[in-house]
Amino acid sequence: MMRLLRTATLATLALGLAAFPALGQERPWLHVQVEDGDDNTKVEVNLPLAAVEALGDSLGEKILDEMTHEWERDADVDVDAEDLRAFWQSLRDNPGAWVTIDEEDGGNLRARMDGDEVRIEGGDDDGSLNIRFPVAFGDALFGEAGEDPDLGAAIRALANHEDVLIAVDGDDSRVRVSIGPR
Amino acid sequence: MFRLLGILLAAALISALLFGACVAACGVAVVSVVAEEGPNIVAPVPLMLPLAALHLVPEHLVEDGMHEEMDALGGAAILALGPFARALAEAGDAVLVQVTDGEEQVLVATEGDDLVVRVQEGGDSGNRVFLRTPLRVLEDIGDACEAVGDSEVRCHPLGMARSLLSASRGTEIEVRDGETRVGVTVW
Repeated sequence: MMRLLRTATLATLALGLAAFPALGQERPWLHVQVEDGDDNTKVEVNLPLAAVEALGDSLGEKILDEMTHEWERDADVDVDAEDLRAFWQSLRDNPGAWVTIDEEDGGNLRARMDGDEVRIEGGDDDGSLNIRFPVAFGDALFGEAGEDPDLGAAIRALANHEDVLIAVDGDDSRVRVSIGPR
Repeated sequence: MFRLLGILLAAALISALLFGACVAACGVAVVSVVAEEGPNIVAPVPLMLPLAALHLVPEHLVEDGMHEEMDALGGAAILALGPFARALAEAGDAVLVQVTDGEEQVLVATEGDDLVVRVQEGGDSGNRVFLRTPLRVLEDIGDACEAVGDSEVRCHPLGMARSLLSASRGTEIEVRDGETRVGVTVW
């Protein structure tokens, strides 16, 4: 009887753990590292993604507003959320290589959608640039038609992308933005 | 005669006790200044004093002053403080920001329920700033404000000061500039 009870308890526990896979699994963190060898400066920022989400939820709309206004002012074009969503959707509907630039002096830039990731890679004699983010980030950012862009939702979509988001390497400088464990 | 004196003494004692209870409830900041030259100063400042002073200023004047200084992004940033601080508290101890620039170092970390900031320049004997404050202080600043409509954020200065003062117990500030040291501890 005791054995049966123990087996039943263990089975219940196992089922419970299977139902909640997040139990015991630490939520990801956002890490930013900037190194500038020229003046020997090093900056490291580590934030729980939940804290970044909180910032995105509260500040996202205002930040995106500021960015749109700045863009409109600098580029003198009128852009709204629907234009950006349509642009993103057209990219999304045409996976593969979006941009390929090869310069004579060896500089190059590639932008493409590879599976469920967007990759932007480039480089020249001075260094290299590598940006990777999940397609889900763009989907969450631009949302459905009629909705405002949602930076908080976009940040939440990064939680499953435990990898380097941005890598910039120069002669003496290095930038890394990544999602990963603490 | 003795009866009147007794009543007066009892009234004075009760007033002193009430004042003491009030001071204890609001907290006391102990400010110490140690200078290379000149006297060392240790001054306990009851936190009920700034609170009482704030009561004397018409609230709308403080509110208007705050709103003039705060743009839409600033207001949203204040609203974000509460959930941001709660997320930090849940995540446990961590080094959040570390900046090294030659001999200058800045460190922002969470330790227990506190936010800690350490700034150091000029090696071991150089200038220093140290701040330790409960994360609840950030939460309380954020929670004393509310969104009004689409883009306006309204803060209640008196409520903010009250919750700030109650949350600030355990706050420590130390500044060392050359041979001068200033310390503030809130009890």
